[in-house]
Amino acid sequence: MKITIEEVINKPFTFTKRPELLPCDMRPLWRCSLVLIVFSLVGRSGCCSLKKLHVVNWALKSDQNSTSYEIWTLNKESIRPEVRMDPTLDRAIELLLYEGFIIRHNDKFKISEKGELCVAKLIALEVFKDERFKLIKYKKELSETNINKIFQVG
Amino acid sequence: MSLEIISLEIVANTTDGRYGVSIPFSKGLFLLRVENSHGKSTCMNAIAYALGMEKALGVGAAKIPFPPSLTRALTTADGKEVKVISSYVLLKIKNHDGNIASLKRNIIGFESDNIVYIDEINEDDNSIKSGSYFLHREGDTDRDMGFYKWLSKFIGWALPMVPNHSGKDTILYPSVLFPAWYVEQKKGWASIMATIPTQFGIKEAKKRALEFLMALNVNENILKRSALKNSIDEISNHWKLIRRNAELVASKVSAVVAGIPEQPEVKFDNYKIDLVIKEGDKIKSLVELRTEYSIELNLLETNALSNINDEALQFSVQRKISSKVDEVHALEQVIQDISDHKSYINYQILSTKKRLENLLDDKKKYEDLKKISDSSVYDSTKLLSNECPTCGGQYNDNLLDFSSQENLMTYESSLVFIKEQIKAFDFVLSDCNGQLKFKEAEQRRIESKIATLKSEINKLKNTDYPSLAMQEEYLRHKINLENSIDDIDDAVRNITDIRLELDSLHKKYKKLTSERRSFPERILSKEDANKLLNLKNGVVDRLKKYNFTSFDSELIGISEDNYLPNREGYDIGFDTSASDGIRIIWGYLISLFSLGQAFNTNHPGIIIFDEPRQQEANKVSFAELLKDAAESTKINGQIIFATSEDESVLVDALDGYEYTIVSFNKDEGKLIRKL
Repeated sequence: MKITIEEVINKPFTFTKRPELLPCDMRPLWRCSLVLIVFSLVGRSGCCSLKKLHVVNWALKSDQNSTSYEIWTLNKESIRPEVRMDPTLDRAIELLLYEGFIIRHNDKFKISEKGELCVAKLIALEVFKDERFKLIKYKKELSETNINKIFQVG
Repeated sequence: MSLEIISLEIVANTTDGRYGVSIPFSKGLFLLRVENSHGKSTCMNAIAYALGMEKALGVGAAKIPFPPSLTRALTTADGKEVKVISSYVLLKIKNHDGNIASLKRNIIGFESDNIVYIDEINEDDNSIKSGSYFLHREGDTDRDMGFYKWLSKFIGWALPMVPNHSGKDTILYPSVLFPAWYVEQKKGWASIMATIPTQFGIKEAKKRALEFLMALNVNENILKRSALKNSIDEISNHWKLIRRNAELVASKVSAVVAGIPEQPEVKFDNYKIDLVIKEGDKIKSLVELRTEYSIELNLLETNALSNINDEALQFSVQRKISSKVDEVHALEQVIQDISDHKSYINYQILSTKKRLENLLDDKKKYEDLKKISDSSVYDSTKLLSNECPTCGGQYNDNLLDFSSQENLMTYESSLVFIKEQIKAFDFVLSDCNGQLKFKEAEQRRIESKIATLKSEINKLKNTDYPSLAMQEEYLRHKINLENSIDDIDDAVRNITDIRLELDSLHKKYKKLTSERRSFPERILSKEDANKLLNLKNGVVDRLKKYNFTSFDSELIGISEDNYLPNREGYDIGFDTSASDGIRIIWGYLISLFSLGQAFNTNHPGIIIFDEPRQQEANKVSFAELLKDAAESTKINGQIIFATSEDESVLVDALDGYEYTIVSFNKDEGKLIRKL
């Protein structure tokens, strides 16, 4: 097929907006599932403070983050890791809270029975393999005391 | 080929003496009537066990399919428990030649249970073979004392090789064929050939078994196709090896090889293979370079040295040094350029790798997400529909901004998009790597040139005898040129060999691919199609007789993909009621059996149904089944039913038909009794 230049110009153009790609960790479904897994794997009797959730969320973002956390736990006098608070995590927590997957428990959050049920199903699906591996590896270091130390002033 | 069961004997030696049972079988329709839980299945499983088929009963591997009464302790008629010391099964079978073999296999005892003692005699009562044959060990299908080898020879089977999951061929084990003519009571009625064993790793075992039993020509075609694929793979591997070799040859003369694709291609011209070299901004063929060198060499020879005075000599040495130093400077400049370019490429490679890493990470996450959204984890919640749990309004599927209206990709299209991106970046990466290789070759060549120039300069500077130095310099240059020409000649010769090798490989490849293309899409031969038609008609007729009501039995067809019954081309899953599922198994297996009477097939001509689930069908269907079985075995073959149905029902149903019945009454107690 031959197209001449005249055929192309003087024709009205139309534009359609293509759907955009969004990084997967910005999808509510993905993040909510991850948070539930976090609760069941590293929560102390199913409880996590907001700070802890933020630290875990940050550590899972990249290997660099998790290594810098690991190094700090080995020598707590060294430079503290720069944990970034992620506002999108707060939204995910709100969703989970109002769907009844987690409940407020004193000043912390606690995973509900409904949430536990979901986690069991998620683990049966064999999703979040790498994330689960990391969580189990750092479970001991992710104590609330350690988390508090990161944010302590002085 | 045929197999007929003549008699079965089970014996258990206990602390209270010998217990057991002995049942004579006969040709045609044979009914074994025993009360429930009185040892019916033990007898049927004993037949399978004696034939070495216990792996095809649907019980887990390495389990003996017998109740404790034959393995630990049995309860006598007066309720006493006696310990079992040893027990065995003795089965007599007959083949198409009239040879009778008795197979004796231990259940428990001192000797291994993976040995079958065989005594084979021919029609005139002369012993042919006797000895102990092993099974469930390497070689049980091909060694002389392997049990399955003996069994397949006895039945008259030439077992084919079929593709397995590890890409090689494996023999079609007799156990894989077994569920087509033996239906186990507990698991066998779930579907057609439900208890087919999987531990042999045979690809599409059911299909392969049915193909063999019906003696379809398909298997041969499949093997051919698989062999073809293997040889094409081999050629590809060989091709890669040669390509690597060619690269080595090229790097010896600081050149790169062009014109060899990564994989063999149909369009391949061996004359396009060439060794090229980059000089300045031009790309030259190595052959061109060789001509340049030889011209230079010729000029050198005419330009022989003459005697000149010392001052002139010193001057010419000095000039030579200066010109060489200039050359070194120029080359160093080039090296600088190359190194700049290389660092740019390296940076690109680094960033591409980083991008790829991120993409792979995101791909993994999206795969997880897709799995989650496809599953039932969040079925009862509003998370899947992005509906706010408090106000019920819709929110955008983006944690960054719930209220935005932007159009986001779905999970599927995100995955597709990411995969495309990965492909693109993979391409960029391999391209960069190629460029880097090319630049490195160029750099090496220039570096070695600088090194020789510098050493030449040193030699010229450090000499006390300028005339000698000039001569030396002249000779060295000449030798270098000659060496370079020799090296190029060598490389070219090697490449010519490689070219010839690749050419012959390419010819083979072309032949194989055209062979593959000319392979017929439909692999069923005409006779195969006839067999399948006969099978289909058999199944339809039988289902009509058995009161099949789930849908019009005329809609049943036989799939050419898996040779199992389907409904208008679709699998029969939940289309049928449970009882009709049983009817389909009856109809299909008996039709398979009768197919052997009309065509030349590999069916052993025997069917064994352990409790044919008449309770789930109804009396009429069961009576029809019995009549049909009696009818089908009129000419040839043996059909054995083990059932707990009342004797009067059986006798009434089969009024006017030929059959044999062995019945054990309830008040006689269990089958395994004192001998």
